[in-house]
Amino acid sequence: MLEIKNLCVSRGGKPILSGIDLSPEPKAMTAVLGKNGCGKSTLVSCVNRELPFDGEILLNGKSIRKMSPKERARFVSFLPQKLPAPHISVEELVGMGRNPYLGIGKRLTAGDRLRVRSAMEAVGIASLSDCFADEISGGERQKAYLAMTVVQDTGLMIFDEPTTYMDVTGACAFMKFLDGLKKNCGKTVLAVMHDLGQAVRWADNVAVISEKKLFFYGSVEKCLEERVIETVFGVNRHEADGEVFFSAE
Amino acid sequence: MKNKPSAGWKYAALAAVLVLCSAAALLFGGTKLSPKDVFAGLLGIGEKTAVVIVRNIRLPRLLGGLAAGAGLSVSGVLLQNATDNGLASPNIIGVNSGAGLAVILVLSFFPKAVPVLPLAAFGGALAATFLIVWTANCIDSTKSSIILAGMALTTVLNACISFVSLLDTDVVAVYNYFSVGGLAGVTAGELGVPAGMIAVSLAVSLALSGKISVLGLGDSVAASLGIRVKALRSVCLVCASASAAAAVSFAGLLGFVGLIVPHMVRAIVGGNVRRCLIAAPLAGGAVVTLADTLGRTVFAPTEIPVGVVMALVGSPFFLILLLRRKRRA
Repeated sequence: MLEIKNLCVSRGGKPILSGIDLSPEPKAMTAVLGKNGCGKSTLVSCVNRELPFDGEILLNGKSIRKMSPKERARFVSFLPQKLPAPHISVEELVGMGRNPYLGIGKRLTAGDRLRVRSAMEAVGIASLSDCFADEISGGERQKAYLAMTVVQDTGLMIFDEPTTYMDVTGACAFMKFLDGLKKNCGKTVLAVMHDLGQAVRWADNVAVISEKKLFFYGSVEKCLEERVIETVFGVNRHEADGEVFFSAE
Repeated sequence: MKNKPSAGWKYAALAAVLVLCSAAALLFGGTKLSPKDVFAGLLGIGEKTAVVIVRNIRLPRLLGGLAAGAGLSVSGVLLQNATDNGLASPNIIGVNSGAGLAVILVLSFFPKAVPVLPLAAFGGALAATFLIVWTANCIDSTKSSIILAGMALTTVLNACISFVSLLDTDVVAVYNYFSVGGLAGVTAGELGVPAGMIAVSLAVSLALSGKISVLGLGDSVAASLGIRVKALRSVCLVCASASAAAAVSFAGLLGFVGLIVPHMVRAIVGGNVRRCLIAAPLAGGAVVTLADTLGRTVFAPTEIPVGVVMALVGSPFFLILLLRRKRRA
């Protein structure tokens, strides 16, 4: 579905990513890991066509360079780290997920509104539908944006550190929802993550970026077996009650 | 906290305020006229003096106020959404300064060409628009680059205005009147083209309002939702500038309207761009018409230009709005 071939990105002549080849497993969750500044966000921004790049990115076999923004938006949704708080209702915000399917001057159809309502119920924010997005909590807003990507209805969903501003419970619920999307709706999820424990708990596969290159891509089990995370991050691994944790010392 | 989904009654309330302000603009002035005189004057069947005052002075002035208010407010809504900056207005991106420079140059080189000043203002504003769109595209068309490029352009144009006014002090008095902004002497004939431009800008903006709303979610989210971010931002800039340029061409540099009215309408109908674009012409028209009526009547027979009234009354009102928003947050 998503194929990244020999991706090279540089800024001001300085290379950020070099020769990345990555094809995340369809209908699975892939966590993109790496130290700060290694180029994780740059990688996903390229798929969203925000940055110029060399190499090729294919969606269902078609180069994203040959796709219109609207066509691309029907294949892949993307949530960045920083999400603004506009002065519009939560329902309006979620409804914007249908934009790739709307022509100029067109408004949401009854079917679109039904999708919006269902997504808000699924995410647990139906009671907030009339509230302004800039007057709800950060976690609730994050859920509203998640509902927006659900409404966008793409096969591939990309998240850049989706749980950064959430507490443990909120983060767990968020990841559980993504897991449900993968299992029940067959979505392919690609998530940049900072929390290593969360990554190995929820992801099926791990892509580790180090020194501007893809250092490892494979299943979580293989990643743990080869002690990839310990090598790249210089952390220690602990296990308790079947859960894996990492500590810096 | 709750947002009422239907804004129909709010549009109706704004329209009612606009009608009241328009009626006041026709009723009040230096010469006392009864409602009956005004009505008869509008139909052209009353006393000759009343007919002349109403049809040749007050009505064109009212229409000018409505058009200027609509044009500048629509411009402000578009700019504030396209740049995601509540301080964005036609002044900031150089439209007003472009118009100002063109006017002062015409006054300096062709002192007798006063009748073509509106045309010069319009040309200057449009030239500034294309310069800013070109500059922003050369950089990267991000929100901040448009604002920064606009501020830089404004500074350069203002420096040129100061330079010309220092060299040719004869033009300063006429230029001052233009720079404050006012509706005295506006004729119905000169409103046709600007009103048409404002209407076209508004129609294009309304057609694109759904996309412009998405732009408010930030460049990354907008791109992921299928928006051509740079292109849409440039279209917003052109519509905003054309709309403001049209208003400036006959009303002078009425800058404050484009800043304050978008905040007012957001407080009334929420941040939905379509609703703001519908409400802005109503609110903008009412605000400018009311300010002009106050300027004509409070210190009559001395007339205070509408730009001065806007600044005097509008600034405190704007501060109250900001304080209310802070308290709510």
